[in-house]
Parts: sequence; structure tokens; C-alpha cells
Amino acid sequence: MRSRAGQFAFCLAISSALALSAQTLGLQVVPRIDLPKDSPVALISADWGGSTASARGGAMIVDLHAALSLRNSTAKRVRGITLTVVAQEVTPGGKGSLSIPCLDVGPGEAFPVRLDMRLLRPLQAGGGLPAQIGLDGVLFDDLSFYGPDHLNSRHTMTVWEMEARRDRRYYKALLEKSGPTVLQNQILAVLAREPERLQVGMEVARGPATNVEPGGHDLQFAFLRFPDSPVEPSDGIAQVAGNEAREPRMDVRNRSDRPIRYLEIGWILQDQRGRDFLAGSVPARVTLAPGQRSQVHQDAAVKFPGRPGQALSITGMTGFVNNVEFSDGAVWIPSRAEIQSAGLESILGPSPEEQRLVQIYRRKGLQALIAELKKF
Amino acid sequence: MRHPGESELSLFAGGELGFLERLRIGRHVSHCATCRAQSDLFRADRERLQVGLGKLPDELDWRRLAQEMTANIRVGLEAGECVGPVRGIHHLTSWNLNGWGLGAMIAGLCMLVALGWWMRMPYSDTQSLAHALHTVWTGHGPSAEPLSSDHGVILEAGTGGIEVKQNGQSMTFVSPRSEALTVSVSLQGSAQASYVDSDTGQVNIANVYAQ
Repeated sequence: MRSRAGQFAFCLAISSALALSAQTLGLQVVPRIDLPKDSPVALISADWGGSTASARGGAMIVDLHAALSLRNSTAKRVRGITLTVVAQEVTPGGKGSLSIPCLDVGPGEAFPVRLDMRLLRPLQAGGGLPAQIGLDGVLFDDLSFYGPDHLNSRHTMTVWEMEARRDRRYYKALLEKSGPTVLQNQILAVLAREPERLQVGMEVARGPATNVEPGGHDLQFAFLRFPDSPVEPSDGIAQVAGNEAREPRMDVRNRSDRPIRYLEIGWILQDQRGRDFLAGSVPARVTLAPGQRSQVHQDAAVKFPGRPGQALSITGMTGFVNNVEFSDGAVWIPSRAEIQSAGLESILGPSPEEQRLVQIYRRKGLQALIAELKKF
Repeated sequence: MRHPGESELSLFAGGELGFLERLRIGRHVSHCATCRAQSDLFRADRERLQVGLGKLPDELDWRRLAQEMTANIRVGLEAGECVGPVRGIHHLTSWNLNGWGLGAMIAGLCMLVALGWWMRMPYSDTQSLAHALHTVWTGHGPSAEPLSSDHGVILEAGTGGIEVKQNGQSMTFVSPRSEALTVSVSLQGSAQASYVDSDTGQVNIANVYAQ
């Protein structure tokens, strides 16, 4: 009797340990890369070392760690690329994308792509590859675009490229006008702003909430107005309850002489201590003829994630026009002067190109930064 | 006239037919001498069998039977000792059920239950159970739930990367390869993490979509 009890306990412990190991240890995966036949970039090599798929509960976690090498097979210079990474289209967390803006890849040149992403797929999804990588778009130096654009990559990459050109122009002008020391001080100021910039994180949820927090109320937006903006926002409200704001809606007017098809309003939240946080962007597809008004509305909510000892509550909201796309595909972004005068530098954070330039300064020094600015 | 089959007559003789069948076969047997004779034979065989089962064979040697059973048990135990020479197992099997053995058995069972719970039970259910236990223990309900729990899928962009939360469970989807991480969310249901890759020096912008 005694021996049987001991054996039983031993077997239980062993089987539990084995089951735990099987759940924890992942199997190596090799995702499929689908590039169109006429793709402007070609795959040279792919290293999937460390990419695994492991079961957890009823889901499979696909951990992708890849080093790809792509080649520009066109006669134009590539400025940006967006790859789609899909484990499951309909599963939350089953779809992602990786964009690399601020590239400068000449015809026939190769460039690396590092991918570190985790996706989810249901265990019941059956056979097939655990993840597929595809091309959503490639942006060239003449702002032409190739790709299916399922993720609105054309607009997003054009905005990044416009910001990159704006910031390079700014730093280059600073260098030519005021010299390397002033350029260095400006870069150091960007570095100094990093810790100051409050990154408490933000949650976003789509769709209406099923209950209403007691004490919730409508809060009016205050708008920052840029003189050059083709869109003028006005009369904006959102429902605010504690640390959550939902369903922002605002009126916008096209004050340019060109039709507008897309715009994004930046959304800043103020807490009870007067600190500003960039909550996110409110994008909207619109059809705005010159002089026409419309209302922008998103059925979604943003919230400061709860942290122990940090009870944040929303006391104010500010909106500003972040970017606008005209019907001919041209994109408007605010100038650096407008951002500075509105005091947005410390809230918005550096643009992708500014991040890249700062990194060059940190790793290689001032001379390398100057050489990089002179490339363009 | 159609005669019943042998099986029907056998069942009739043993009284194992249903009510209607018994009436039908009985009616036939009362009029048919051949079937009645066969039914009587079946009944007689059955009675002989029951009488025989009640007796044990005369030649049965109880002493010899007991010796054989004891010998078989000893052979089985010896064989068990031969196939279990592993020291750890031997030590384990000699544990006292009232001491370490009982403890190990309980620990193993707890481990199995915890593993099963972790693998199969949704986090929201665990949370609900915890809240219920908390309410029972303290006599009052837990603090107010965060509003966002009412929504289905929540994307969180923070300095640790991008997380997707659903039913109270969360999972990190982008783990940055750089300390300088810029995150943002779009109200169309995506979260973005932007960082400079330390190996390539390129700016990587990862997006995770809620739907």
C-alpha cells in the first residue's frame, strides 16, 4: 500500500513536469514569405534562428525573431518598406506589421530587416504555417508607392518620409547657419527631453463600452491651431470618466483650396497635476471639398493604464491637426516652427528620422552625424 | 402454420420472453405437439444445468488450491522486485504513507490541479473566483473594476512594448531591442512601438492590430 502511494506520487510529479515542459518549450518555426512576382524587393536570405511556436492554453504563441536580407530590384531608391506579419487574421493579436522608414537603398543594393514580434493563433486553426510574412508596401524617393496597401502604409510611410525631409532640412540648416556646436546642443536637447517625455503608456479599445462609469461627463477639446494647416478643427468633445476618455468627436473644416480625403487629429490628455500625455491619434477618412465642414468621430476609448500609487484622472484635452492627405495623394504635416511654437516638441517625441539621427550621434559621434546630414 | 424458432422456444421455456411474445408462443405451444415437446426438452435441460451448478466437483482439493494461490502471489512479488532495481524508485516505494509519501502525493495532486487550472481555466474566471472569495472573506466587495474591462480587446502601448489584453489576460507582442522606445496608439485599433534597432541602426516601427 505504501509503495503504491509513493509510486503514484512520483508518477504524478513526473507527468506534471513533462506536461509543463511540453507547454513551455516551443518548436522551431519557419514562416513563409510571400512577395508578389513583380515585387520591387527580392529576398536574398532569411535566418529564422530562435523563432518558435509554443502552446499556451487554447492558443499558440508564435515568437518570431528573424534576420532577413532584401534587395532593391528597381531603378529607384527605396525610402521605406512595410511588411505584414500574420499568424491569424481574425484573432486579436494575430496580425502585426513591421515598417522601416528613413531608408536610403539604391538600385540593386541590399538592406537588412530585423523582425522581433510575437503573435497569437488559435490551436484549433489546424495545419498550415504558423505565420506568413507579406509585403504591404514600398515607398520610393519620388514618393511613388508599390503594394496592396491593406494597412494604409502609403499614407503612413509618406508622412514619415515628409517628417524625415523636414527634420533633415532643419538640422542641415542649423549646421550651415550656426555650426556644429549648435547642432550638437540641439541633438543633446532631444536626448535630454527623452526622460522628461512622459511615457506612462496608453490603452486603446475599439467599440462601445457596456456600462457607464458613475461621474462620467463630456469634456470639451481645446485646439492648437497651426496657421498653415489645411484643416481647422472646432467644437470637439469626448466622454471622460476618471482615467478614461471615449468617443471623441469634433468638427473639422477644409480651409484649403484642395479636396481632402484623410486626416489625423493628435489627442493630448492632461492629468490632475497639469501634465500632458499624448493619448494617440484620431484618424478619419473623409471627403472634404474646399470650404466644406464635417464631423470626425471614433467609437473607441483611450485610458491611462492603472499603476499602483498612480491614480491619474483626465482633467483636460487638447487636439491638433497631425497630418492631412489631399485627394491627389499629397500630404501636409506641421512644420517644426509650428510644433515648437505650440510647445509640442516634448509631448510628441522625436520623429523616426530624428530617432535615427540621434542614434548616429550616440554611437558614432558628431562627425558621423554631420556626414549623414550631408548625404541628402 | 408457422412454427416458432429454437431460440424463441428456448426463451419461452426459460420464461424470458416479453409479455406479448410469451402469449403468442404459449398459444402456439398449447396447440402444437412438436413445439411443446421441444419446449419441454429445453425446460428439462435448464433444470438439470441449475442443479449441476449448485454442486462443487468432488475431486476439488482445497489445500492444493490454497498452496497454488500463495505460490503465485510470491512469484508475482519476486518478479516485481526483479524489475524494480532503480534506487530512487526503491526508496520512493519504501516511503511511509503517513509521512513523506502522503506529502508527495498531496503535492503531486496539487501540482496537477494547478497545472490544469493554468492551462485550461480562463483568467477572467480565476479573477471572478478570487473576487468571490475576497467578498466572502472580507464581507464586502472588491474595489471598482477598471472601465476598460468592459471592452473586448484592449491594446496597451507602454515603455515595455505593446500588449494585447483580452478577458483580463495580457500578452506582450513587441519586445523592443532598444531602450529608447516611442509608443503610440491609434483609435482605429492599433498600437505602435518605434525604436532604433541596435544591430542595424534602422528605425523599426512595429504595429499590432486589435482586429
